[in-house]
Amino acid sequence: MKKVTLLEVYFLPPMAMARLGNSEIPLEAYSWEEDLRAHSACQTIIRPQISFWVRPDGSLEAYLPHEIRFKDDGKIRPVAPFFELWADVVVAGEGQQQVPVTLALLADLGVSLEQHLLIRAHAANTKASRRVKDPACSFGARLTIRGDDHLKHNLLAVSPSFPEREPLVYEDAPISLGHVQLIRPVAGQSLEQDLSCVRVRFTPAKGEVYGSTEATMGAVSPLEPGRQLPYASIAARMHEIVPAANRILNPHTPWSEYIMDSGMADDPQPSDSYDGANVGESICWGTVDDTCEIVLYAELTVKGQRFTASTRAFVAPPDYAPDRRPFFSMADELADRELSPVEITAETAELTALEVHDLFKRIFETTNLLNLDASRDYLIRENLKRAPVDNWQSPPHIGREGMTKADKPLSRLSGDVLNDGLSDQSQGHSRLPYTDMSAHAHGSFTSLDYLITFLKMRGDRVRQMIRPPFGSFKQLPAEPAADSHPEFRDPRVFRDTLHDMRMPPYMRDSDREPLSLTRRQYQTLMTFLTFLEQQEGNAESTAQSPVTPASEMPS
Amino acid sequence: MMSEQPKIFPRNLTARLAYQAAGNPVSSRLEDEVGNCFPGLGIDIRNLDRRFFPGLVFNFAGREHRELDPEIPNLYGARLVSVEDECDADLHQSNPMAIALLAVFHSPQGRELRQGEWFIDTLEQAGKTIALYDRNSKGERIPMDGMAVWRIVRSLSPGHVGLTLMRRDLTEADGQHPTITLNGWRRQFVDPKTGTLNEVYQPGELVQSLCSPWQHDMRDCACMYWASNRPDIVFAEVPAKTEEELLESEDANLRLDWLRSDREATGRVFAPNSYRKLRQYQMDNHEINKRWTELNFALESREISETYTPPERDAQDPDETDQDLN
Repeated sequence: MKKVTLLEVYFLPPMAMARLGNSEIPLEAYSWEEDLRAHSACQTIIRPQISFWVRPDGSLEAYLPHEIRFKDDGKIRPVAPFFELWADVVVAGEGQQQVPVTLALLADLGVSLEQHLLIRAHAANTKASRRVKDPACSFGARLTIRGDDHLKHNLLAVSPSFPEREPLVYEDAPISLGHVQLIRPVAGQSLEQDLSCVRVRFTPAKGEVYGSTEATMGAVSPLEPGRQLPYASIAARMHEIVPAANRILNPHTPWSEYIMDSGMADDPQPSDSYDGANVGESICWGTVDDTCEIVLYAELTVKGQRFTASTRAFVAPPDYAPDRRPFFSMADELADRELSPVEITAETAELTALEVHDLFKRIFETTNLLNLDASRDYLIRENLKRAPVDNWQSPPHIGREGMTKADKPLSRLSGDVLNDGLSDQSQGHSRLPYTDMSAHAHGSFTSLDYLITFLKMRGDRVRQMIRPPFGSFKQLPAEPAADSHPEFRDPRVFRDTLHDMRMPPYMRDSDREPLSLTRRQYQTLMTFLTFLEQQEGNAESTAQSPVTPASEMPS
Repeated sequence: MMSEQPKIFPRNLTARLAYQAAGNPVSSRLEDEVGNCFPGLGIDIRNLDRRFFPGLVFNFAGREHRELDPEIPNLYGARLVSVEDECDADLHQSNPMAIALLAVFHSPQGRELRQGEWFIDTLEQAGKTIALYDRNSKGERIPMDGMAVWRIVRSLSPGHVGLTLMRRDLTEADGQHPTITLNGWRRQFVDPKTGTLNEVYQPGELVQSLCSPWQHDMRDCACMYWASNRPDIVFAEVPAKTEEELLESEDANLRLDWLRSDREATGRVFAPNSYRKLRQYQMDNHEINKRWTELNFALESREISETYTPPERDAQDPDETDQDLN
């Protein structure tokens, strides 16, 4: 037995997405990889990876699927992530190590599952309480699981009780937010996977909708998203809101009376994001779902000291296009907030090229499934509601001229293909001309060689084409400028909040304004352009200096 | 032979997020979740900023129709929801700035903050101060809308932040609203060592502003940014087994509206080019609460029924094979 000193325990991954599904069988593991078939355009595909079947006794068996099954007889398989417990330890004679917590490590530490390990879980759905500012309209569940308990535990959520407040979810009619299971570690391996690791699995709920007895049949707006259908012109279709078995909520809470934009509720934006919105007076039907955010904790007691670890899962809808990746992901968002800008040196240039290439591939993957014609049409109309007159005569235009020949030289490609830009008219044989053009344009960049050549030759064009992100606080002037800055946008500058053809075109950011890359992505791309230009300029010189992100403009 | 092109880049990930746990599909990773969220499908990351300043919790109160002047401008901006100095682990006593901040929270000024309607009035970082005001259509100064305030808060870098709070529901004898200035810092949202989200965020807090139910947004958000998880358009499923059969298929290039209500053969028509034209043929709100499981997964941009079999890997490079044999 080794002499081991425990320094820390932690879960991996530290955060994860779980995804709803009503099948009893979770989705198997798969990874992203490159498709190099002749006609594949080097797109991303998914490939099965080693997956785990949970035996009735709670232990695992590994296997490698040949295919990925997303549904079982029409029921969607949930994404139920595993979380592994790891430890930072000092092993006598070997030094400090990061290792998974296994049965062997527990033995080395002189502790056991049943006496020294607890798993705790706290899951909650606070959507309704956020709207109505009433904690009794939240609902949540807490669990404590002993280290030798390997059953699946149901997260039965109820609303907290407070004097003089009506609980939304009754104690005798809880809502399941999913299950937590401490996997039974067993000695041995299966397909080279160590089955003696301590793992916790969270299985999300089934995607059910709940309401009160009043949530029976409801009228819905047949209008476009965000458009209000007044009672006076009701031409609505009717649908069941909540199945009879799920009409279990308290009908006497503020959630059943909520109306958006009343000015009393600090409405989160967009405010019309609940059943009942945009029809008549937008009175809420009082419905909730079974999504949640869950925090899992491990407590390992060693020699009278408690070591704790935590991890977090967010329950999302299914990813219906699992081989198409967002170019602005949640990971990118966190990196943008917390990580330093990328510095490009001769040593990191190749990695940066791969990162930039991957960014362009992700853009291509998104454009494959985006109806750009429809979003362009919609957001140009949004623009024209806010700015009926185009006061900016030079490209890129904010109105119907956007992404047409009027936007030349910016719209070099679309200007040649699309003469009038009236998306309502068929353009030759293409029914979705902007969509097709976008896929065509970005398809070329799936070749690394082509992309690098393009960036080297057309760096100025790329700088013009990419919409700058909103500036950092350091960049923003104390008083807003009269018009846009070429390197960053300012939320106080009206023109910076209007859509145009710059990339990414006609998409929305988190504040409903035109989407850009993250600041970090943008800086990386712009710095890489400079690096490539220096590389070209210094082709015959012997040394290159590192390229760091351009210093941000002082106010 | 498969490419060496990586799909995961640890340099661009916060601590420990690069780890791939065995048994998990890649759709459990944060790289698979759309980051720009209005409000998002799985996480509304804007909720991080409601606790950007240790000890304080804000709501970013915005309005739906920002193109119109607000009837009551004072309702909008970053409203102080609560002072939570007692349960904020970032305010530990080993940090001199935390000690100073706690002293304010525990002072008469701190007690004042716990009553009335306080909003952020100005933000300061690195010697620069930005006042959170806007102009209405008459050119009059009005409080900035909550979403624009959020954007400016989001622009802060880690490090010192000064903020001035103004109480809007009280006017003093001199006609001015009371103000309180605090000095603190922009919170670190992700622990740089463990990679976990700061534990000040309560379970449910990062998803509290998502749609209720989630299906409502799946249907009714003018999304324009979720296509990688929730497609706008997809190619129709065809019964081809090989690429050649696919190319010969009549429907190979038929591009469908993914959210169409008619899932039968009669619904297999080209997606129109505007939301106005496609809306009436899509699933409705309420309807989607029950029918979301009928929506197809799309692989390689094409709808599938229930399973996906990836293409065979190409034969190994002959040179590599030779090396293996040597």
